[in-house]
Amino acid sequence: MADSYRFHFYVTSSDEKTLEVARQMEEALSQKFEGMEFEIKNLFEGGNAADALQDGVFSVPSLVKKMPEPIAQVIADFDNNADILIAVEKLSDSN
Amino acid sequence: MKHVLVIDDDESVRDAFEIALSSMEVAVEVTSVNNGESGVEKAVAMTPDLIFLDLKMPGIDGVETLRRIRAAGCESPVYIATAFMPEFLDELALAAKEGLRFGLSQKPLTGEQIRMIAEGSIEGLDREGVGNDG
Repeated sequence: MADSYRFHFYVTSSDEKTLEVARQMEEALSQKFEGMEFEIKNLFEGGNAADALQDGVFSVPSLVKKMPEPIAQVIADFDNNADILIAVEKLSDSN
Repeated sequence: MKHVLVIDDDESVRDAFEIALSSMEVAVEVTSVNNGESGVEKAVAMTPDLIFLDLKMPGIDGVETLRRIRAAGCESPVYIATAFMPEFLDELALAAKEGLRFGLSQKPLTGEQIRMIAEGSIEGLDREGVGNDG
């Protein structure tokens, strides 16, 4: 049985542009990791800063593969759609 | 040649960035300044590929520096360096609500982390870009 995948997308804004990037990212991830869980985490809201520290995040925005371990972080120009797709591939290869 | 601007009042931090970025595979020219006012001037003059900006500095702080950089029309990617602690993040949250776009980097960064941010932000993900925890 395949491990379940969980991703955190850490951001510093919840504006429309960021949400559109997140939507594209979630779509790309869902095509690669069936049944995966995806969560947007604005560092300025709730306990997300603490979660970032727990995830070993040192840069925001970043995409984190939380599960399965090992945790992996990708930094990219996420405004660039091509970089989103490459980020997903990189995380796929990080297992 | 890629251009990175480092704005930080701590000389040891500026040196750390220069050492880390000088060992990247792609040629990177690093310009360092020790205050926000000079940082704004350099940013506007250079339009660098990437800017690392300290949050807490004498004179104008990182947020005001970013505000002036954006007001002058420079849209270079900016990473503000700070601890991910509420006392620092509250000010940055207000800046984000103003519509200022920026990234954050945890402080302090290792040389490898500096290179990962630069590679991801400047070059795309055609080389390294994934960091495993542990």
